[in-house]
Amino acid sequence: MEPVTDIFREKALKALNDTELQEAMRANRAFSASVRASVHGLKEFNAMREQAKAIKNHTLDNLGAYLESYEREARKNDIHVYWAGSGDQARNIVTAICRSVSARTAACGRSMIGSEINLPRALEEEGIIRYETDLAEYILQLAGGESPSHVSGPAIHKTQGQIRELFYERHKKQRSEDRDPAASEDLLAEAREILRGRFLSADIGIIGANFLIAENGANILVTNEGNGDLSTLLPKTTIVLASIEKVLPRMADASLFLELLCTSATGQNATAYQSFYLGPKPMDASGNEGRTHVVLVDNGRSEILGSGYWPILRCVRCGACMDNCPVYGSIGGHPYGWIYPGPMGIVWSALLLGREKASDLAHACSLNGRCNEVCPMGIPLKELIHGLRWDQWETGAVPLRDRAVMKTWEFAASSPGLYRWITRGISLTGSIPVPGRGIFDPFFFSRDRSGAKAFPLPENTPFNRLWQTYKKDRQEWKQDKQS
Amino acid sequence: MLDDKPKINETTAPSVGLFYTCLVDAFRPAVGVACVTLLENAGYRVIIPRDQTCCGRPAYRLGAGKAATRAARQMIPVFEPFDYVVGPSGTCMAMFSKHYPELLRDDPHWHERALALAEKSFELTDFLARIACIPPVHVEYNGVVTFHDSCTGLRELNIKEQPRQLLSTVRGLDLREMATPETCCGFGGSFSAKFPQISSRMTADKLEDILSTGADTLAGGDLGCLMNIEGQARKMKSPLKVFHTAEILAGMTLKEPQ
Amino acid sequence: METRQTILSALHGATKLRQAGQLPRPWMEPAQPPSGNALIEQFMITAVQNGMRVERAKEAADIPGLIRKNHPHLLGMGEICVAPALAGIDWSAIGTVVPGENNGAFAVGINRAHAGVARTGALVFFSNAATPGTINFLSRCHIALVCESEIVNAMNDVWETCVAPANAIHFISGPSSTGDIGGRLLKGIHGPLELICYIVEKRPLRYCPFHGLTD
Repeated sequence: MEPVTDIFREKALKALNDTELQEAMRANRAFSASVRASVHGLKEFNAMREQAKAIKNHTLDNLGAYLESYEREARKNDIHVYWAGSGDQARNIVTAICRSVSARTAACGRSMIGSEINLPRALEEEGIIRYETDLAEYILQLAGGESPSHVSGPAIHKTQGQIRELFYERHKKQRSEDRDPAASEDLLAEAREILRGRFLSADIGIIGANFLIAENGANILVTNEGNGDLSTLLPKTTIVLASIEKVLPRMADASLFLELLCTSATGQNATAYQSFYLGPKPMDASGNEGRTHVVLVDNGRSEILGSGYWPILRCVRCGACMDNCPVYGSIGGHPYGWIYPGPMGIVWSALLLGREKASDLAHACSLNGRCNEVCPMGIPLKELIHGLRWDQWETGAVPLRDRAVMKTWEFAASSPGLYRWITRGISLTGSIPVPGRGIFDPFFFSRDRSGAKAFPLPENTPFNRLWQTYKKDRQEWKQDKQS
Repeated sequence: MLDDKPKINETTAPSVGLFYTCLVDAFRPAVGVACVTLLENAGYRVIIPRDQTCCGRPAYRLGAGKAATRAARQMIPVFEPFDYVVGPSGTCMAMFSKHYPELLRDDPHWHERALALAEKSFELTDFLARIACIPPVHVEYNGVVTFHDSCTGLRELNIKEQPRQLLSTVRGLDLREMATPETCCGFGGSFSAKFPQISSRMTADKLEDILSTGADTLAGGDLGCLMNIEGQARKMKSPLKVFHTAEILAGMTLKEPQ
Repeated sequence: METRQTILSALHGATKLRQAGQLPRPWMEPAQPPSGNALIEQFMITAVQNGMRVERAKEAADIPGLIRKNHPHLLGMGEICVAPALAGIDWSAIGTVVPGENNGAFAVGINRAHAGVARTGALVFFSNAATPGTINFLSRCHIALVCESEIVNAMNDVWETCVAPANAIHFISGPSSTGDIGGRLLKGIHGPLELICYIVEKRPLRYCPFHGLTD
């Protein structure tokens, strides 16, 4: 996906007025509430999170060593391991593998790192037909390459009605009779039919990995649909894309991370399919040997690891932070402009694309801290987002207007006399007779005077003056009493 | 607050420096009066330093570290003479108790002063419930009240049960919880200035949650959130009454909504 | 090779100032796990919540009869694919069975699960020649057989009993499902629409994930 993070404001406004999106987001909020209920049902959640955090921190502290161990063990399992420093390198590795097996078609499972490095474009340039096999990704592909709006439910911005229209139009050719796939079950059956053929015919399977295990070279894939497994089991050649922070030390660590991931993502204690691929690929029915290739992608991670933002590398892409974010809940994932939306998306986008590309994003957060509470990896998302704002200030990437306002404020806040006059001035505006219901727009003088916000009018006398009067009255009253 | 009820020993009672906060000062002075009443009734000597300005939260939130630090240096000398510092806002008081030491960590002298101030700084309801341990209040409020947890107070200062415990002693008050009392109301300081439309959608959702409890009154501990929600309520022509917890506890609820 | 070195030295540079502590112990459930019949019951409850159908059988030989009685709709769906590990059972009651992989031609597939996990309600399948992975994913109806003694409490207990280097280990806790259409949970997207699990009381045949049946 090509990032377009610089038009957050416009896209957010559009999203607020998109009634179908709002309907979809309402459904997602209800879904999120049910997920929270399951998390509350997991009584060891906090203890599990602490343990997972400690294990992951240790792994990150020794990331190089664990990756080397993973590589060694995976090679023992007859898996080819490649290293890619950048998205470019990763794309080149994938296309070279495709070329080596003369692949014309690729069955793709959902992979965040694949989207991050814009694999779809690389495959297109290579002339390889890409079959998206995750139902949501398939829907987005049918819709002409829409970007995902959520890390675990990429098409949650689409209502059932929109998907029905899309299928009705785009599946016409495949449909024997002209009927409207009215029920969700009909839509499912159509997608199943079409995708089944694609799994069986694809030359190559390209999937992601949720975790890699250093001690035995296993890669772990988590789905509910089973599409990732079919993309792995059926084509002769499989490419697994994994970003380098996905590694865990031991098989015995998998259950903890899987349980935290699934509970936080969908409220399930386990998704329908959790697969540990150990390789080598089994021979197919005609006795042909298959091959598994694993591409370890850095793409900025090693730099993040050396910065103050390293805790984001604990992220397991469950989506809990966005599901519980009231900003995301109001506007959906598209305004964030890339593949990572919501609180984690603000941080990932700023770090991977560059701070200047995400300058609005850092402010698209009320810093309420809910994301910190729900993150199963205990990532201090609020502090990381706040940190991005500090960076802007320190690097001088702050608009002149904000700078001027801050300077004035700073001067006033260190001049008590002046400050009292300002509060007095503000409270006096309460006595200006304005029509309406006793409210005013507190941001009348801000950049876009939207009139969206309202505050009650002030009450004429500031407390500090009121208090002086009270104090005097009380003194007099006391003196009266004494005399 | 001007009767002879408070039995305060003018010389030996512990002193409380009241930080009334900018929003109370300019918009809702009654909250300041309520704070004085509650603290004096609890047996404290309340002093209101004249040279207080702003806690620095707006600058801190925006990431303007230098400006926030300057505010900290203004406020620390003003408030350090007292036994306690109390204010009717979790957002502002968290600056004192959490962020001043962090802002001044590179300056040993100021850092020490900031730490000392942090130790004795409290949000009002936290102070009344945990430090002053006040007895049940002798006031009455006839209404159905729902309580909004302000994000900063809740998540930086663990203010959750304290205001509820205090409100439960008010006669006639029926407290009903929202489905999501901990969800942000959409204010977020600079956030609402930068993205007023998103903020306003969040506030509308909050108001819906408040009204669906059947409550006629909203209580809360932070004027920023309360004014934000009250503004939305007025805009929607809802008769919802909005009070700071201190106003209800001090029996200062006769003000009719505009 | 060059890239590999660049990445590894960047990682080394990024972490060299950190105090690398010991690797913490794996997570252990604090509560005493259930055992015996309680363990099996917990597995059944969780599995049913996940959308699995769970039935109990005295011995493996009873299963064809039970399928015939309880799931007659499966009998008219053509030839049935069974894992080679289960080829020793007389399946004639439910029609023609073909031992081996499911290449997509079979609507019903029967596989041998290596274990069941009570905490998550998942069945554990080893993908190898005796118990092919394709049966789990390409069958419309997936039937699995597991023994009572093979039900364990948690995923980590599986690693303790398992020494088999299979190509893949699949934890499957229900039919293939998706929430991508209108946020409603729908069953049977790419993989099975139905997952039926038979818990067999008597261990039918000694089963080795390496070699299949070893009697």
